[in-house]
Amino acid sequence: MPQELIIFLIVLCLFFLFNIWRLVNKKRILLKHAIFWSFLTIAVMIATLTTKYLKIVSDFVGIQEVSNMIFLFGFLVLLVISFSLTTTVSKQKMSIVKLTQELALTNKRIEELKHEKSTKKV
Amino acid sequence: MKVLMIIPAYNEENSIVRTVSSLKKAKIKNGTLDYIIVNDGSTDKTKEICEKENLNYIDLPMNLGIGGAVQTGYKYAYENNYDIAIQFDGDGQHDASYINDLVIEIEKGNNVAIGSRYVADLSEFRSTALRRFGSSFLSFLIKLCTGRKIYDPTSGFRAADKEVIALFASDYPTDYPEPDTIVTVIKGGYKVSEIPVKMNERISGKSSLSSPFKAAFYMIKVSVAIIVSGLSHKRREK
Repeated sequence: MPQELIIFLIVLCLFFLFNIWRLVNKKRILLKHAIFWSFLTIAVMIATLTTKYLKIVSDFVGIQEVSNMIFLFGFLVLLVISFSLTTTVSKQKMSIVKLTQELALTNKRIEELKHEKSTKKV
Repeated sequence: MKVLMIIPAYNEENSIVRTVSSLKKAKIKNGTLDYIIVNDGSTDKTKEICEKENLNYIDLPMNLGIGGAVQTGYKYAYENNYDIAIQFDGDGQHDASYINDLVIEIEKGNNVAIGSRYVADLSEFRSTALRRFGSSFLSFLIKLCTGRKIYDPTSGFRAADKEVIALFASDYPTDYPEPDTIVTVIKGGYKVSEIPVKMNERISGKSSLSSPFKAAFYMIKVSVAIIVSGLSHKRREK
């Protein structure tokens, strides 16, 4: 890989890392997710710095081109991430339904209690 | 017998008052008949009308869809210790004169009683051929999964006893509740019966399956829901 490209990619990764932790500080993403993305970014950085050795890995798993291996790997990671997002969304949807129902029922109970109180006064 | 009518209402400002007053005329032989409207985050004046007319209602702060709304009603029935809960549409499609029949079915020892449009001899309900085909296909699927023939799997006019109220309060599908719950209930070993009812044309509002595309999509999703429920074995604890 040309020197300039390596530097560019490293800078990009560092910027991404910085941004993740900035968002954690601002409480915009949970630490749990930030750790995952940080590991992934660090893995990309290591891969960028050790492209020579990646050929050994791709030969070992039987993929001719290093780039194909990286594409495959990237594709699989994205699949796993989007699937885990689906489970998260489903779980949240169920929680929201439950919360909405409980809130409505509690409000109803409060109204009933208010009503009981006001009728007792009379 | 304490009986609760659960009326899910989404944008029913034109029909909700009439629906409730039709209930007030209905009589059941022994017991009391109450109702609860579940306003499913309506964007029209449904809530204001309920408030103004002093109707008994629960207000969901946002739209949950039919499953979430009906389940709220079952939770209310459970908390307030009702013996029977009956789903009753807010758009005027259901006929209050059949309530007593449903209550009798539960008193006979059934856990669930379904008011059915297609049970023999009473098929005066005007329905399109496509709708009938869809319904009979779902019937076939349910028969396949449970061995029971249910004539009107999409009917929303149904009664549940105390045991099933508790079941539905804790677990109810959000998306395609009618056919799905039938399978769950039959598979769970509960007793289900079907009685013939006539249904009216809706007073206002449109069917949720207005376009053929939506209807086809609905069929696919309901079929999957039925098969999934059919494959999971959750027997009732006795």
